[in-house]
Amino acid sequence: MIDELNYSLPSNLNDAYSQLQEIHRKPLAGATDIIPRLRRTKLPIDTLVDISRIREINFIREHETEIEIGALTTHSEITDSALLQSTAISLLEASASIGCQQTRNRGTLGGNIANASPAADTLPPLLTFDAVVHLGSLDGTREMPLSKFLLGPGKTGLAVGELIEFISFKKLNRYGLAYVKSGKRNGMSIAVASAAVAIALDDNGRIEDIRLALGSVASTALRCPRAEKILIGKPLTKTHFKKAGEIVYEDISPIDDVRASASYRRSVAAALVMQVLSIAEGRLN
Amino acid sequence: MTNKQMVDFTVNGDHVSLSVKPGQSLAELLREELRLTGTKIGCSEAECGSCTVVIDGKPVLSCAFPALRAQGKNVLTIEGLSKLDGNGDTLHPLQQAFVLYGAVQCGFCIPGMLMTAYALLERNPDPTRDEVHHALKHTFCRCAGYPTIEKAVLAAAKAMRNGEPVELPELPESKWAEQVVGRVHVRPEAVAKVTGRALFTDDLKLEDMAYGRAKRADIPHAIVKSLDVSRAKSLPGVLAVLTAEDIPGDHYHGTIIRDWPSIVGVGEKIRYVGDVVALVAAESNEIATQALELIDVGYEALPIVSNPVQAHESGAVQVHDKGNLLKHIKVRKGDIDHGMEGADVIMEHTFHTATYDHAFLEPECSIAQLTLDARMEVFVGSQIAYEDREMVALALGWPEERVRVIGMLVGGGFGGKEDITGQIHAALLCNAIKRPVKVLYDRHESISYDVKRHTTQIRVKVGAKNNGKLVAVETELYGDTGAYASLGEAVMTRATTHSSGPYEMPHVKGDCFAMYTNNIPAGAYRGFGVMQSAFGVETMMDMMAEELEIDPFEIRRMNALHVGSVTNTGQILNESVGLLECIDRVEDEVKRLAGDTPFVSHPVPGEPNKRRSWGIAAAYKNTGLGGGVPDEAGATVELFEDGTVESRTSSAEIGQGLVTVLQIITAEELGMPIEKVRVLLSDTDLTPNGGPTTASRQTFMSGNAVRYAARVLRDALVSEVAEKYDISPKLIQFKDGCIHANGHTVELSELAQEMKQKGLDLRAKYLYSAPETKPLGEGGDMHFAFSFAVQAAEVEVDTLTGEVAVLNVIAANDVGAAINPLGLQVQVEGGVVMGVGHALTEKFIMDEGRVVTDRLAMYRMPNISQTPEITSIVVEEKVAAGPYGAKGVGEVVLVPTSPAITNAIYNAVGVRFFEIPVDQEIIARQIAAKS
Repeated sequence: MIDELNYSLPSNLNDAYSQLQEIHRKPLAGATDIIPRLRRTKLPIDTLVDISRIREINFIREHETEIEIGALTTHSEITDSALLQSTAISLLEASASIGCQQTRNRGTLGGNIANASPAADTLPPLLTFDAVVHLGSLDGTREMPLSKFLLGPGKTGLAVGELIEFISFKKLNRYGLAYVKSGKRNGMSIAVASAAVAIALDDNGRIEDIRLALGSVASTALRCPRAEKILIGKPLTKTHFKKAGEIVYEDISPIDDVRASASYRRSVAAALVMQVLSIAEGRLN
Repeated sequence: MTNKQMVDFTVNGDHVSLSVKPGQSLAELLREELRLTGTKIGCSEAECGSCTVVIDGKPVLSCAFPALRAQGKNVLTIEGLSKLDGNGDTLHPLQQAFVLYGAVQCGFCIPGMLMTAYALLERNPDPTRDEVHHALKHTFCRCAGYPTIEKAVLAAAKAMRNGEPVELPELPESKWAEQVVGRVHVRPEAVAKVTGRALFTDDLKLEDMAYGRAKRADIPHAIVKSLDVSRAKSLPGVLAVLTAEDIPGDHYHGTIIRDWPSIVGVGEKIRYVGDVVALVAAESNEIATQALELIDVGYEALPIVSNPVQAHESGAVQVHDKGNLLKHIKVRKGDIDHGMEGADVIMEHTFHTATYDHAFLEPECSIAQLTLDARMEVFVGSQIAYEDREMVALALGWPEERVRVIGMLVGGGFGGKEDITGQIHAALLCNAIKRPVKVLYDRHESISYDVKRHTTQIRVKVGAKNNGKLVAVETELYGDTGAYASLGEAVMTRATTHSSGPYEMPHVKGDCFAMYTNNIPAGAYRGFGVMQSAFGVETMMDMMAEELEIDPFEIRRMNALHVGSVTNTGQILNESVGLLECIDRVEDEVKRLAGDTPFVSHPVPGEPNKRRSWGIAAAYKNTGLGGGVPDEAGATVELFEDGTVESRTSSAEIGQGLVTVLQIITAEELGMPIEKVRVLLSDTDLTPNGGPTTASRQTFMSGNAVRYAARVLRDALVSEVAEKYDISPKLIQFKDGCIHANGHTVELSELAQEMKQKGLDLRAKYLYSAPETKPLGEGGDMHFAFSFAVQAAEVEVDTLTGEVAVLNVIAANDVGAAINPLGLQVQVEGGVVMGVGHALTEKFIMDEGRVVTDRLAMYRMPNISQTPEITSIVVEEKVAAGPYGAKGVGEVVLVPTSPAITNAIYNAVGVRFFEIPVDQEIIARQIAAKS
């Protein structure tokens, strides 16, 4: 119950780690949904460790070949970042598409990743960046590719006492990036499907590298290896975009729920794939 | 056992230091501990935006923000907005603009809306329209004057940039404008609403107040076999647990039929998930909530019926002992068989409309307290104060004189605050523990258990001549009134009588079966059944037009009701039928915007997957109760010695602008400045009964009552002055707060003082009775006035995903006379936006009697970014009995929107809808199947 909770507001990572040693202690980042959830249901939580004041993991850093984003960076900070505007536009688009201004101001990148919702907006673009998750705890740090970190709805590779410190990815200077999503108006506000892409061309104008990721169509956000493979070496034509859409339609197996039927999700995902590819195409050079 | 911790922060410039519980939200802390009640809680699920405050420059949803996290922060609430310049009385330009533009209606969302807009302008002093939409996207306003809100924000931004006063809005005045009537006046309570000072029921915290909650069955159909409240009673902090046996008076309530149990007893029947089996009063809402879980109830589950058509079949599960049929409603005119025989073309289709939630942003709240002289006072934001008094008295087993209902502001009603919610429960608990008790629904309770719009099935069969002239319409409706009657009979009667549309028709046969089921009860909801049947008949009108190759405007024009027409209930329309003018003016405007072929599908440049087109629909809606029910409203008008006047009636201001209307009328009648008129509403001890705030009737009914009461007062003043100066009453004029009599000028204040000294009464009363109406089936005038409307909608459809955006709506409404043009503008906008929601986004879903959409996050009402450009065309065909010619408008604005949109979708992509809300999956699938 809310009445029996404890709360702490550590100001550095070490304090946070020492306070997170038990399973019923829950790190609180943006806190965009925990208070309503606590009011609604009994959660196995006895202590809220509010990590929002930890400055060490709120940053957007540029290295020669890499970008690093601290876990406590908010969606608004991502949206306002000139660096990410020029190097990770699809992540920016994903953050900008999240809920309302009030939520974007508080919701964090780390929180979006750790909640591991199949519909989490930032995951498809991060998957197309081949992002790496950097975890910390009292025992030190470790890192994991994001694609391995995501295990299922709400499930991740995060251990008890561990926090996401930051994510990193290699700069994609030659790539065209894009993110799109589609909602259903008479359902919940969460996307029916979303898609992100990163494309690079070779000197002949053919696709040299392509990374395509989808949200809301499986238990986690995921990449589409078969569609990627078929596009490698191909020119950017509507026919090939359509082919990629068709493969995605065949390969995914989304669920039926209140928001949308599985078949509708598949056709929307296919349409989004075509759409995201043509947006990314327009952003090459 | 709580683990309270200290938190220090700054609120509106003042440092505060408080001990709080870790799970407590900042909103609760602000409201309950600091008593800054301007910050509203609409949902407690970070969804509606009403609780928005600004923390260190950024807008934050305070209902989801842990209070302890405010440590060291700078919090700005609505109460601080007007004193940012160090002068507590100066409104911020945003507040000024919201007042001047009429962006404030019920006012509940306004603090959150203003704080969101404030944060936007701090960051971006010159936002575009799209940037305003993006920033305000998740701060909901159900009154939904979004276009006006947008204009107000942009006007405030401009004023702030230039350091100049806020520019006044441009709005046409009534063509029948008088001195005060028909001109632009700001809402008198707007300043209180933009500063956070306006009080809604939950903003009250009485001394020694306890908190009440209801234990709901959460099973749709069952017999209560056992009930054990002992564990709940022994929880520390619990003050009382009441069961059905503890009700001293009548166990049932209901607006027309008293069939709704306040508490269901052991051995009695649960008929829907929201039925109550026990009430708890406790020292806090949290303790009361915990106690609910300690109440043990045993049920014998019964099979359920969840569909009105099945409920009508023989052998269906019986919801009530008297059966499932609430009412079979019949409309007959001419000879339907003969009519159909004479038709060249006959078309028939069956339509379905969904269940819709009112989704007013202020959740239901009632507070009851006992006075020293053993009377029960109930504070509640209700649409029918006198009926609440009657129901509370019946439940207590007391005479009505011992109950006083004190109406608070209503944070949106739309018909959803006509039925009893917590009023009786609060009074029962208060009477049991002899302490004030607050019963506040949380959003989950409001959405899961309170009345909804009737889900309706409508079969429409239309016969027409080849030239487009309609000859016969047969309709059959099934309305799902849920577990209890509420206003089901009246709602479905209106649905049926309006089911053949606003058209002349020689032969009509309408049948409606209003059915009980184990679903959530359905009651009054803006449009009152007419919204549902209009979807059917207006879709059929377009289908018939297509079949006969006639223009959609033309088929409506050639069949439209006009002066001299006889309605399908046999009423001769003698006056005030502005339908043809609505059709003509909408057609002109559509063609001005879209050229001569608005109903053709157009591609969208640069967007190969999108198509656009327009669609139209027409509607009419009665003003007032009608159907032979005596319709009355009382008012008192009193002159004070300072020259001010107070007008009083028990009618509700639910955002529609009634206070402004009554103020305007009083000022007009007494020739005085509008600022000197106060309006007091909804206090059963102080205000005469204005009747229910329903059926678009208050401008007409309470407006007339106040108007005639003001005339009685004026006559008394005239005789006094005539006698004093010995002149003919005919020479006496009222102007600018003075009485002018043949060269003499007397100020109202002066005259009031003189008359007071003589012991004369300065109060005038009037009981207004509307023109008599006849019951359905007897012919004659079933209603004393009808309003008419035509809307055209332009949609853009994504052919791959099926998504629909409404780009433009042109709405013409015949309102008789526009008494309050500023209020009318936002009523039109709000009705259209609600219609967009009903057509596209909103759907309350039940599955086998259980509520699926039990949170606001699952019930999608339109936000500002889904709001079309709205053009309001005001048509003013006066009705003789109306005040200055006015008739109702609150409902008719919503009625044609849904079919105009679905007709536009058909014109854009060829997909016809027989069910709303539109399912975009169907659009995508049908388009894919065609290509």
